[in-house]
Amino acid sequence: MRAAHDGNGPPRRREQTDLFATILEVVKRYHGAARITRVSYGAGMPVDRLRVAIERLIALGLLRSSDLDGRPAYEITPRGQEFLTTYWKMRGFVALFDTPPDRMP
Amino acid sequence: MSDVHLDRGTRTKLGQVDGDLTADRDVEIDADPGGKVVVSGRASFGGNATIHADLECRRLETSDGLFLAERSLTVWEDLSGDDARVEVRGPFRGGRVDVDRSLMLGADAQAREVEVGGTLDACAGFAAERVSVGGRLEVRGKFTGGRVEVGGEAQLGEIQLARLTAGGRAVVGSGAVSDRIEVGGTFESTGVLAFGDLEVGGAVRLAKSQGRRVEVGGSLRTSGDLTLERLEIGGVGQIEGALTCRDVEVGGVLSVRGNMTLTGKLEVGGTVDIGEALAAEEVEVGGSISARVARVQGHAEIGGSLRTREGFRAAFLELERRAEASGPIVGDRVELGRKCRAEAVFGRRVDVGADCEVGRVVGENVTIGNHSSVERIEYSGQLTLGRDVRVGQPPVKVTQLPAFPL
Repeated sequence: MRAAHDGNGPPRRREQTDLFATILEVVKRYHGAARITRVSYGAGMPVDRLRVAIERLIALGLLRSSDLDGRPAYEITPRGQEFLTTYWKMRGFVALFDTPPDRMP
Repeated sequence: MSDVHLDRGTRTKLGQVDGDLTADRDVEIDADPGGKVVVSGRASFGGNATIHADLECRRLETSDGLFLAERSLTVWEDLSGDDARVEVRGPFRGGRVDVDRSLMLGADAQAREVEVGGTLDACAGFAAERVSVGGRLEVRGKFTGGRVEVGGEAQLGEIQLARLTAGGRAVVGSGAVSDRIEVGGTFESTGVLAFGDLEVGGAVRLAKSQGRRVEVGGSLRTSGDLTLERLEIGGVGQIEGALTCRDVEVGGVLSVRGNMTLTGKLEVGGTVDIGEALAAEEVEVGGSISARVARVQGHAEIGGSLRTREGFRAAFLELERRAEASGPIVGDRVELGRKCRAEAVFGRRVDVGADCEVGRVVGENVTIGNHSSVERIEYSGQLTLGRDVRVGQPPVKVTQLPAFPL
């Protein structure tokens, strides 16, 4: 998921909302026990850049941090889940809008 | 041979190790020709390691680098790769596998539980009870398993899974997911797929498929028939075959090339276009509907235009204000709102609202609203005409109504 991809045509440039969605989806898979290194591997982002994004997501209330064995672990919040649902739904529409008219239903 | 330690950069030949094997980085291990390396305890590697022989061990730990097994690898219990990449070119068998960066499996592989932070790439068959991948999962051979979770993208061939969850995108070849598929972004199946529930945030593309419930936030396209219990689409649905279902709910536009056969309700916010026949218990369409023919057991409510070649029949058919119907519309009771237009209306009870334009009305009891115009009226019971109704031909009272279409 390094580049945002709709399955139609070439991948488009990953924007901040795509990055946020990528991070949240990876965090979600760890069910409250997401370590920053694991998220880094999953999201394909260097840890230093990821740390900045995670702080922003926490500030926005989309992620929460907890202490797990003395180290921070991250968990998606209900608001984060709401963001993801809206993001993917909108991406579905955008992909449709980008579909050439001759391929439209 | 009891516990063995290999210094950095060593290349050595091993056989049976009755104990633990520890190795510094950059080691290479061989076995006697035709033989294999067996470690009864833990095999631990502190960096890059290449194993040129078959390897069996109870536990395997590797960190900071690439662990490469050129032949088979069997780990009876746990394999852990801390900040490591693991590549196994021969067959692999393992218990619990936990690798930070990537796991590459070159031949058939099976494990109880697999967790990979970055990428898992299985080039042949793969079986695991539980798989969790943070980034990307690709399985080229048959994938048999229980619960599979992927943060980013899953690219799979033939599958037999209990549950598949992917954050970004999932593409599968064919097979079955017995319980549930949940994908945040897009889901695509290129072959025949059976599933329980399918929930996708963005877009779905399916070949011929069968499942219980499909819920799509954005759009759904199928290249073949679709058989479900419930279909819910937020945006646009395009079915290039027949749709068989209980209930269908679409926010935007739905197009079905073949028959649409529902035992429950069709609810569409926008437009629905059915190439062949529609059968349903109940229909509610905010915009327009078109079909070759439609038969509705109960109530049908149409907000915009209704177009059929052979007719539309419902027990109770309501056209809302300004709706238009081409092709005969038939019902036990038919109600046209204000300013509707219709070619031909057949019903036991027909209520035409004010300011409507209708070609032919055939009914037992007929009411025509004020200022409406009707070309021809045939009735067998009571006829009530509002003010300023224009009738092309004098209304005809008959003892027996002509047969209704459908």
